Amino acid sequence: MATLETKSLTIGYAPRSAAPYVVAHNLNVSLAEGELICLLGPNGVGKSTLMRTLAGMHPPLGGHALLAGEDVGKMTVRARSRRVGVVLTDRVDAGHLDVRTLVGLGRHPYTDWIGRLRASDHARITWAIQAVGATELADRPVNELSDGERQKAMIARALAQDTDVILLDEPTAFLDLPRRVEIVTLLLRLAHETGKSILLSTHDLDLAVRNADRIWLMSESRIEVGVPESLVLNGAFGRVFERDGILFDQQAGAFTVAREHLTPIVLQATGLVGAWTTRALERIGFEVRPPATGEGTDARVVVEGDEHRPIWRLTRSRREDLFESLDSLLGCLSPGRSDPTSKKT
Amino acid sequence: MALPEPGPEPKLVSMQRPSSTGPFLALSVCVAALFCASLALGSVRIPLQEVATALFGGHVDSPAWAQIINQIRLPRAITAGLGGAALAVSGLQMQTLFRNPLAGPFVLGISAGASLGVALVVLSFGAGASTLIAGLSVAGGFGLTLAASLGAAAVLGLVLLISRHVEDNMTLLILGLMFGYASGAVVSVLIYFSASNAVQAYLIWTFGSFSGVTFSQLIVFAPTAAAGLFVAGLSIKSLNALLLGERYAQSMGLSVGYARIWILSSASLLAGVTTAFCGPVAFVGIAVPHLARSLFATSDHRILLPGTCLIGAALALFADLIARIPGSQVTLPLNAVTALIGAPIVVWIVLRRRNLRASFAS
Repeated sequence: MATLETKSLTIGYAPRSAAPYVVAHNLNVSLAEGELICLLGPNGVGKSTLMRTLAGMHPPLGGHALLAGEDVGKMTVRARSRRVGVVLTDRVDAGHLDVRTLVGLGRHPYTDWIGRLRASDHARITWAIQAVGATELADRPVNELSDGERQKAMIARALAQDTDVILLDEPTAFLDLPRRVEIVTLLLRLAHETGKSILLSTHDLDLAVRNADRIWLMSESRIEVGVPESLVLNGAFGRVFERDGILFDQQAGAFTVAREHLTPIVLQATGLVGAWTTRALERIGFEVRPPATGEGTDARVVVEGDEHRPIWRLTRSRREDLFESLDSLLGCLSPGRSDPTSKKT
Repeated sequence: MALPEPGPEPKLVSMQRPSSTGPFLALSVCVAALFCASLALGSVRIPLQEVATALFGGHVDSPAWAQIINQIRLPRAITAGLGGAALAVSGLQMQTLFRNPLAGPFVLGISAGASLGVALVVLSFGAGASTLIAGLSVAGGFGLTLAASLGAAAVLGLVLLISRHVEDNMTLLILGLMFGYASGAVVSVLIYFSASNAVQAYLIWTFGSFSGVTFSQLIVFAPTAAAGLFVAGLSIKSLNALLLGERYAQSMGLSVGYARIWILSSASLLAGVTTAFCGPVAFVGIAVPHLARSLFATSDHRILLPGTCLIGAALALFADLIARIPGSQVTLPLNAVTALIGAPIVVWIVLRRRNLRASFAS
């Protein structure tokens, strides 16, 4: 059953003195129990506006956002806070708070007038901290945490809020790659193990494709929904993200820079060494071809030896050179990048 | 890793946090001691025994002593304690609401409004009013209080009205600042065209003083300040939620609009009523919240707010005690004393603890 869905939702801004500015209209998407969905889309397409509208922080221009069948806009702030929690990009400067107190703030919707925590609240807080793997951080002051640790604490706070739905607006924006992987896999695990519905907006296409149960791909006019692989296969990523000179490589599931006037080169190699040799050659401006289609190509690289001690044999203009590392191979190839074959070796 | 739902309460050793009972106890003793000192010390030397006797309504050798204790020193000590607590709590609320370490009770122009009210009365009614005030008669004192109250209330009303239409706290802060400048300008013009004795009467009011409040005024001041502190107490949970910023606070179920009105109302009421009765007492409101954060090493308002209350009361009582220079006939301007003794204390604590910045890390 959908814990969150939108019905003909139109999002945007309605300034008092000007015509409403529609960011996206007629959105019909849903978020199921125990599902991690990544919201992807180019900058400025309205991901944050959608997130805020779903969280009830911003009024829709039309249609409805429903939390378990109930209209988000018609709920009280307090009732909403028991259904949907958020984690924002905002860096939190909470001052002298330890992680446990910060996570405890998530119990706000359930505590008495002064915010006193009962035993059940403490149990929930301990569970939330444990769930994000931050037990050893519990007594650390928030302002001494790294960005990644801080974001974990904020996720624990959202967990402590005990909502069915958690919305995260670019929570990994300031984090390095390992921390991003850590946070996204953590969210995936939380969704599957606790049954929470988690919607995560991100710019990290690769992480999203590898981890999300489904993807909401937002473009100027609409949202395309699907499992990551089908959005790759049907070319949706390409349509949404491709710009002048930036191409979506369906094979690799990543973006590449379009290069013109590529010099063909034949590469005969397999395995890890082959894959990275291909990347290296492409990076310096070659069009890498497999041996079978290499007829009439002047340059050819053959990798010999084993995986641990590979040797690159470069043949061009009837000359042969042996290289023991990619560095020296590229050093030989790249000085005349526009026409590598003309370079004397 | 399996994630069991929370079962029966496990043993939570880590939930034991450093106790804040110690500092609270010490501060309470400190406030009580300063309160007693405030009753016992003054320009007239009165034996301790007699002070106690006079307080509890016993027979005192000199009727003048009983008069001094009950009619002058007691209301003054109560005013200082309450006023200090009120300004400090008001400052704490403003600093948290605006997420700004330089915010204080007067940041929205409350004292500017009160000053304008007083200036209008003292300066525009000229010598007639100023003779009334120069004598510091009950009527004159009340006239100033009324003028200051009206001025503060006008600003308070304006702020609340604007806050309903202005979404952004930073805009509100800037509007408050501008209002302060504008009313300061009007006061300057009034001063420029006023007689020197009227100007002096106004200046003396701006120095601040806890001594002008009589018992008949205390009947108004004390309940109003207490009501303001009570409402401030009700805002503790909202203030904690606001530590994470407005957007997070809202997502955690706080009606940010309502919370803001409550916080602004109580903070402005506390600042306004104190300014009306004691003049624009500076420094306490900005410094004490920082002292409290340093002392208790927390941003949790459940601890900070009562702590701020106690430190504010203690600092104001101490400053008042110094200002009257016990044993002499001389008194110093209160504002000079709060800053002179307060600034070194703050500098010392901030340098020693080095954690002020952490409260408002950027």
